[in-house]
Amino acid sequence: MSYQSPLHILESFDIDVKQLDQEAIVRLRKRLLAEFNLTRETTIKINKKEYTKDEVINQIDTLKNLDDLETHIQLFRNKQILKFCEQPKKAENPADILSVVFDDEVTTSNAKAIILEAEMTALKYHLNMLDFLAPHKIMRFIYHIGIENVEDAYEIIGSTLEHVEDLIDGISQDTYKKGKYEHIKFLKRLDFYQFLNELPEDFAITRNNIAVSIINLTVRIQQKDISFVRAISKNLLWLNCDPENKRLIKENHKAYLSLGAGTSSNTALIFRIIIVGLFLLRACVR
Amino acid sequence: METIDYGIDLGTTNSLIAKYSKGKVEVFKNPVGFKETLPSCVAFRGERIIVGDKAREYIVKDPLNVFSAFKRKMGTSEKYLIPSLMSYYSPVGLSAMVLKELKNFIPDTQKPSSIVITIPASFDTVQCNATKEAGKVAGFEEVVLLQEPIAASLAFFNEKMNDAGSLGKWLVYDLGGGTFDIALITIDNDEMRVVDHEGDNFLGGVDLDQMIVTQLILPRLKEITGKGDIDSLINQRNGPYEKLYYILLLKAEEAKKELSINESAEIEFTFEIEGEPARDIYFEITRAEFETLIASKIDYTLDFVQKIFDRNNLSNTDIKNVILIGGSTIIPYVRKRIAESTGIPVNFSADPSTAVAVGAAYYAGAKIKTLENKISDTPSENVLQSDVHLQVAYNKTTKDMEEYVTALFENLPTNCTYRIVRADGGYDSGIKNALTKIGEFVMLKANAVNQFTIKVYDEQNNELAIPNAKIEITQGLFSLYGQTLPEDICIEVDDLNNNTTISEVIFARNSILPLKKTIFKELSRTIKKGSTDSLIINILEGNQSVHPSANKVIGVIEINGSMLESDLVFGSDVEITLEISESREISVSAVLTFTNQTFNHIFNPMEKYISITKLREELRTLRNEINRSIEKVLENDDYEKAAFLNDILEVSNSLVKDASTLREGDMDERKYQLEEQKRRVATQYYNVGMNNSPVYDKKEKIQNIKMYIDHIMTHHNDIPENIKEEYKILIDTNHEIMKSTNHFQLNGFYMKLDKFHSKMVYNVPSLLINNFVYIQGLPESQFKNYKKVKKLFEQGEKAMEKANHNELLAVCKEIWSEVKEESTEIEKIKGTGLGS
Repeated sequence: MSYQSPLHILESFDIDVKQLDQEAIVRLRKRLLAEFNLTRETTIKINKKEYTKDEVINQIDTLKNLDDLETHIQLFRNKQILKFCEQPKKAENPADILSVVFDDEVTTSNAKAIILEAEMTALKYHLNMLDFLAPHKIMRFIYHIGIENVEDAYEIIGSTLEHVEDLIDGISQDTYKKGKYEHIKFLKRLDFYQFLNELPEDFAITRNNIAVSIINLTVRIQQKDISFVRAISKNLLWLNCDPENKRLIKENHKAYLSLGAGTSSNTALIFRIIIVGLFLLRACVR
Repeated sequence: METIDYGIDLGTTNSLIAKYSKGKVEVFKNPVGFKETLPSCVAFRGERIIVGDKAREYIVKDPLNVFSAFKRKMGTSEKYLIPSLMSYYSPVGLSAMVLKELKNFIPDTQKPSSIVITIPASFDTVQCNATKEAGKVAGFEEVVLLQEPIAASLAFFNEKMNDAGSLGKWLVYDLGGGTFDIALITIDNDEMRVVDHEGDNFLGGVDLDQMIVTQLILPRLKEITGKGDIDSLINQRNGPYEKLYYILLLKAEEAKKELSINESAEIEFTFEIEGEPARDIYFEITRAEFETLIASKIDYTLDFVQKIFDRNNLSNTDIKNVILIGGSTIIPYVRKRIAESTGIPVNFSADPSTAVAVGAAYYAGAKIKTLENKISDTPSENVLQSDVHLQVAYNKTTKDMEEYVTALFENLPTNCTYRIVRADGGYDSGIKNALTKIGEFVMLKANAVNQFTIKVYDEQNNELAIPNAKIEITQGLFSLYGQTLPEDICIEVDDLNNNTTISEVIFARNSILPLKKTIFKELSRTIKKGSTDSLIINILEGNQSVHPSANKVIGVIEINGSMLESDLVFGSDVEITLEISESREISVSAVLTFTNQTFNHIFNPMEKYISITKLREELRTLRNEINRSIEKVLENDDYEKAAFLNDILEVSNSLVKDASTLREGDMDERKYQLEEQKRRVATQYYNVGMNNSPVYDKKEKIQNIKMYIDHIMTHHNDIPENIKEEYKILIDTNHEIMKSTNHFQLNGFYMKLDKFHSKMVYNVPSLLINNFVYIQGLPESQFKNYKKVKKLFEQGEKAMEKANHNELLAVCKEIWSEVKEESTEIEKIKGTGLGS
């Protein structure tokens, strides 16, 4: 549940937040609850937003804690921050907001925590959408913020990358159908690899596994969609992975570039790569 | 603003009706016999239907045609056979008869069309719908449901407490005829709130009666009559003792009441079975026997108190009093045990029999009717007729000295003015410009019914006749914002990472009704137009932290491929709006943004069917799952969790045992009780994270590989020191991970161990040889190209003879690449199609 500023309500009733005291809050509550008796609807509209009775009461309860008012004021006065905290999934550049955590504009620890929570929501949302540009930028900032938030982010990232690995392996093994690679088009984007490179050493194994999955994918689908494969392998060159994988990626990329010239030596090279690629994938001793 | 004013306590054993008027509540008396309570009992005498005390009298004469405690079966598919009519009645039908009878307590001129009916706080949506239906069948056009602890609190705080004394936190302990509720109430700043509650829909006085029958009366009866089969046949429908069972229940109830006053009670009845002469039976049971008998049940209710304390971080010193409500709290042992166990003063000043009805009337007195208001004020003289329509809103009861009145005008001529005046002249707003919407804080006279009028004047200062311009606010009474949701309302979504589905909360328990929310979910898979695949929107009631299967299904929308106008693509949005009314009607609308299709449903389930076979199977599955989990947690040295699981295993064992004795024809409610207990055990089980099986599977894999490496380390002398050191560091730096429930962290650790294992085997000659020998032993069918592998085996043998480690390593690697992949894929769940 995203943050919702209780100050929208004050604004709609022209109440000055600085003059807010317990008596004013009781009066505000009476005014709001009376609105529910005027309508047969479940919600009432305040400043273009719909509120249920439960939401109104929660907002009033939030206001009752006068010590937190400064937090709400700080978030409310910057409409960009407010919009982000209330609708983190809709922000195009969630990382931009993070910079304010270090600015003077937001000073209370609660306000910072609310922004960071919104960042985590945005991170999760973009990762779920397999959009790695925003997460890449968020992660750059996150490292500066504190271990607790980093761990939250790692957990979200970890589970997403497992899903990514499964997705690539699944597509790699399925029979080819037109439009099938739509779900993995992020592999053609450099930000995916940049994002992986930004991740710390804890993710080294995951990064390598993804590298192996992508190598296998490119090898398997090269005959079906070489332009897609080339687009992937060009970006894959940027990925920081094991030297052995790195070498394979380079060799494969060369081979893909020359594929189409029709030389038998190229085909042979790629066949060999399949074997090594598969071997790497299951390099285990039973 | 017309209010409902009438409230009914529809109880398991007794029902009442009360009316709110001008700040006071009156409980109606039965015109026959002048008693306030009406036994919730229906008798069928030929074509005649008798309800109440008279019906109860027939239990001894004709028990098979008399029905009571049907509230406990509200919302079930159970039907009662009426032998005298040879037809069936549902619990809804029987409840409607009680409601109709209560309506007869009211003079004809006052018969209401809207009513507040109380329900146990723990009633689920199905039970609520069934109760509303009973109200409709009884002829009420509008039925508003109210939770019993709220009603009891309103009665208690409005009638028994002054303002200063009421401030703080209170527990309302309501042990009625058939249900148990406990609610945490706070009074702060003249506001009364229900903060939390717990309860059991199958625990009340009738359970105590059944215990008296089965554990105190039957053993004596067996002794006296020598009938050994009486235990097993007593509650069997159409069995030899069916009539006797009902008679004994009545005797048990009478004895229970007697034991609240005296130290012993007589049990006296005639023992009659077909083909044998009738015998008069007489014996006594003592209060001490009764108290020993019910001790565990009362302690069980106190567990709920502890739950509320734990959830709200409270201790007994935080609570002012425990307010006792419900007929069963008259039992002295109940009062004593609550006081002793909680250490909180017990308050029994509220009348346990009438408090709920009185509270229902207070609530009804402030509850605005949604039915069209047909009454209009009689215009006074010297006012001009007008088309002005006024809709006014305010709080009917309050503890504050001022209240806000707001109003909407329709057809208001230009340049009109208004003023609000109190009838006693104690308040006058003064003349103000009338806009379409107005709002004023009006001052109130303390502890009085304050009457106001909104007067509207035209441009020429002529007063206009306005219907509904009268306002009545009672100062000195508590009002409630609304009722709380008893359980979480969730939607089932896919958790593909863990190959399962989860309950995602939409409305959390204790949210104030009515509620509305729109959520956006992304599709977790593509659903093709015309395919048999479907998107499932499954709305659940229960606990958000448990697996969906442990929650109750309220309703399902299934959108299958044939209903789609085009493919629903993975990742596309589904907009789901859920709305719950104060009486818990649930409407769901789903918009598929990708295909621009809308699906609307109103979930109004009124019956649930419980199959004994399915219940037994579910209980056995749950028990087996708990058993397996105990093994897993023990392997992970998690003894604390194992002890907890052992406790719930014991409970589930006893449930399995109980379920094995259930029979389809049984007359008691054991199957419903077992169903509820099953959900409680499942909730406890899932709450400790045991549904997260991938985590435990991963831990199991880690344990296995670790054990294997440890074994190698101990039994092989040629492991180089640097490898031993590397392993030590790996274990030391990761030992905390085994306590984690983070699948990703565990997977990372497993992969590190796996990689280390490979490295160790490839670097230690003796291990490599073992490895080579191992793959030689694999069956031919496990290799992709055995011909090639055979040659590699020969090559490996030679490398071994030459002690050429590098060559053997290359051979081993190549052979492994020829081994067919093991099918380790777990079968993927189909899921709902909604992403988490």
